Amino acid sequence: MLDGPHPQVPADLAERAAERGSVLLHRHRLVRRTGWLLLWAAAVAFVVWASVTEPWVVPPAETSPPLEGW
Amino acid sequence: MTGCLPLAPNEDVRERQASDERLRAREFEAFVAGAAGRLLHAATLLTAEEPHRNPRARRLLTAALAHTYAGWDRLRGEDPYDRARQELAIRFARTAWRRHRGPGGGALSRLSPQERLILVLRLYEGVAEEQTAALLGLPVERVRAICARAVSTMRGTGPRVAL
Repeated sequence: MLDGPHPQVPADLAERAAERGSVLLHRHRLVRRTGWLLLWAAAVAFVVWASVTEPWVVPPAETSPPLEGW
Repeated sequence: MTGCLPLAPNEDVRERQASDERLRAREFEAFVAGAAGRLLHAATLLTAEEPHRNPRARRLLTAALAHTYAGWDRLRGEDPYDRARQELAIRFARTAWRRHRGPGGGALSRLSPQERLILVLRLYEGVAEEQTAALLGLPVERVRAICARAVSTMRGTGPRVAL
């Protein structure tokens, strides 16, 4: 029952599939490239921000301790 | 990320990409020439269409082959036929419940889309029970039961399946 008459393969099947596949491939590549670019830009932005604001430096105390005993 | 390293001048990269693409296209064409007949028959069994009027099977196969082409460079020794069959099965499973119902007049039109898919994978394509189960995300026992039910329906002894 599974080996009935075989359908005829369209002549341009490979060509059309390759065309669509090539579009898919380029789209995947573009997405990947954009992702890397974004990641890289985020890393650069972080480094610039960190070196400008230096968040690891303890800010100077805004209140001084009360002066007592003199 | 091959092909976009800033080591070689852009022209060289383009040229290499173009020659890669030509090679891939040639290999792919040879593969399709050998495999398309069998794959299209399997697709036509899945969509339960008649062999001479199978637009849905052709669309299904074209999409599956396009994705096979897109993943061609990442096959890493895997059989492209296996990959194409996998794409076909997954694509059919994803769309079957919506689109592939109804009488199509094909050999397996008495079966439900899921029964057709499992029957074609197991008996026509000879995929092992475990692999079929893994591909479809079903337990092995369930695949066995559905396959048995499909076979008995096709033999005319099992319960008729409402389509």
